[in-house]
Amino acid sequence: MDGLDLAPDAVRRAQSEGADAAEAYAITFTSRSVYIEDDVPKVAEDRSETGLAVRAAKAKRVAFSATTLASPSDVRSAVAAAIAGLKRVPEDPDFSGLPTEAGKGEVKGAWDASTATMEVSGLLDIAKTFTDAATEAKATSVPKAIFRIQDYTFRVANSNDVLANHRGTLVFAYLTAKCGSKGKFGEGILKALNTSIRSLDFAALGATVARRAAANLKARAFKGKLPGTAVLDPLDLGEVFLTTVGSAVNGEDVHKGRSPWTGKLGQDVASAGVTIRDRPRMPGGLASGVADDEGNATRDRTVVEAGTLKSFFADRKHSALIGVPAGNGYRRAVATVEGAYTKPAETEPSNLVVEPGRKSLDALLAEVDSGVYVEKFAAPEVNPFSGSFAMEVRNATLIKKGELADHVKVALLTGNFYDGLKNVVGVGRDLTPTHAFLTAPGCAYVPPMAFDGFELVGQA
Amino acid sequence: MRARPSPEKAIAAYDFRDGTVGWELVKALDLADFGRGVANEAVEMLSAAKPPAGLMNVVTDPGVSGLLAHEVMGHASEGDEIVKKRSFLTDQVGKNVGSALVSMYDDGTYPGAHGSIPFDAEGTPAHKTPVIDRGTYRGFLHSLETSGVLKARPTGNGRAQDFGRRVWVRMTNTYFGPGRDKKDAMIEETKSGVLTRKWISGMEDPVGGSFQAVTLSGFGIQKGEVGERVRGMTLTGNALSILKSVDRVSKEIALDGGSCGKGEEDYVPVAAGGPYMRCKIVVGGG
Repeated sequence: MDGLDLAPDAVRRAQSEGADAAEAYAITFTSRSVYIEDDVPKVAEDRSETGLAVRAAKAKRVAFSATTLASPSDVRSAVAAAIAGLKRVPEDPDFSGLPTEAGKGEVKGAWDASTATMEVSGLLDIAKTFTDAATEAKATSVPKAIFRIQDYTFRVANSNDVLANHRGTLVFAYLTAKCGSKGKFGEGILKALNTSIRSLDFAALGATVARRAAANLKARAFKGKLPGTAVLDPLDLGEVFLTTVGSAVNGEDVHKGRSPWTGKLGQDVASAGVTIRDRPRMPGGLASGVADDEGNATRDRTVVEAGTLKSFFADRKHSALIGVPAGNGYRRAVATVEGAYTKPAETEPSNLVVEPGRKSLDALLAEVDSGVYVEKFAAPEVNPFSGSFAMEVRNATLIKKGELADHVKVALLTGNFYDGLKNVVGVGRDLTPTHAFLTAPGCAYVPPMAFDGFELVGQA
Repeated sequence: MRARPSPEKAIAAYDFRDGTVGWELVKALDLADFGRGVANEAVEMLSAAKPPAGLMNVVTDPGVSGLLAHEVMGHASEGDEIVKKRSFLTDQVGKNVGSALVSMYDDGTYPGAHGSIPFDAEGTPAHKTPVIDRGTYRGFLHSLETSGVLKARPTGNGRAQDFGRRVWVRMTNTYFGPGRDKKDAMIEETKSGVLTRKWISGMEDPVGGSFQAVTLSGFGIQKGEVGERVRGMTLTGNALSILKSVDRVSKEIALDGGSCGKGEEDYVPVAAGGPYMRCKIVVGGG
């Protein structure tokens, strides 16, 4: 049984059982993982799964069901559940039909053969490369690390004769290192994502996370308050962009009036040095594809150009409501496609890319008279409505006259990110991909950036 | 619930009920009243002020007290973190980790709570495990594996997200025990500080012993009176310093349900809670 072939079958069956319109999303994936604990592999995993999502519509009623696919009878039960749901769900006055234009072709680099064919033994070798590099540092160990590769294919079929296919690979690594002794320890944490396992330098990642652990060990509680320039590492900054800008230009949030940028097209929302694009056609992008998870043809678009708000993005439903082309209906996350079939597509960013500048990180830091360089927050959480935040710093270093100085901790970086976007004083050149959380669709590619107007707050 | 006089000032409030119960939980609610309460809070939050910043007196509400219990001491008490020596509590059994007013438990048998289980994913019956007893650290939470390594009794904390995930040491219902104070009296005795109002999220740091707790909002306290509402705050600090600074603990306690991940994945249902507690914490807000 080819589970993907069952998507068109599900559409036909739903129509024959009374749906005016129907959509089926089938995804099959293989996931291989290695878990490291205390420097050694603890668990290795190799598993496959196929799932099906069915959306059935009758007039303005829309119902959804999902199932793992083990046999053709699962299609019958999933369709039956969606049809039964049509009798119970209320009307959705905003439903305007299913996509009519399918994305065709492929985006270069979304699927990588060497990643797709790597066995668990290859992942074990990579884990050893990382662990050896991290533990080269004095008194350093790897308490926990996860290495995962996924090879997936999905197919979307609907009753408008849309048939879209996409194949991709994902690499996700969650990496930690601990250093110290006699009850005094520091920890470094890092994540790495890519579509190609060969594109990641795990020895370098090991050295980086070990360095962060050592810096965390040396850090002292910050006293007082420090207004000034904050230079933010791209990994956590990308998560902040997804939470804030990803919401502010999200067509559903705009339609519902919860985006702070509603009604601001053409207005300045950021410094002139800030350009942000949503790029589903970016070669090698984690969320790249010619079709989104509704089957819509994707298109790259500029959302903020030189600080000016230019566009929003949306799935099929909200594209009709706010008058933008569809192409941003997503279910799959970029760290794992597990569970992608268990939810309907929603408006989400694809690859949200901040256009890089020309400066290296060192050049950005050298321009700061007084401030802080934050490599890692406890959790990079910003209120998406207001932009306000106060985030505990876990890896942070004071900057004095362009030089990195003392490592600090037990402190909060506070401010408002939407205000911060209007006070960007430096944009770095090197993009790093990141995601918001494990099952959240959307990916950000951002460089290190420098902001004025934030404040570091420690003990009095 | 969201209130929005203009897109620039949209704000959200929430409330919820939870437990290991059925639909009767919803039937018992006056949903109209419930909805009005959340809406009123969202509207009230529109005019909230910026919270103060720095080290100060904080009266934590039961939800935020639970966040401290879970994030600050709970994760660091998980046996696998002890085996890895990834916890600042590794050598703390029998030592003083808080004021004498502080007791803390992990209790998988707590009636009706969101993290209650009859037995864990390895078949060990759920336990009520004392973690802190009147300021003294009592010990760790265990799966069968960590109890074997550390030669301790299993505590019913070997939990897995689902059949496709491995068993880790995980909390169930984690909470600080009640004290003897009245909430109102605690505030009357506070010259200045803040009172927290509902939690948003938390993040542990078992290695370093710090934490991040984000609140929905709060209130200023001035001269023993609850003052103006302030926007969401983030609390941080050194766990042991905070627990040693606890000088008032209320009689009433409450638990909130939620889900807890281990690192990047492996989510299980849990609950956390406690009394109103007064302590000193670093506060900041945007």
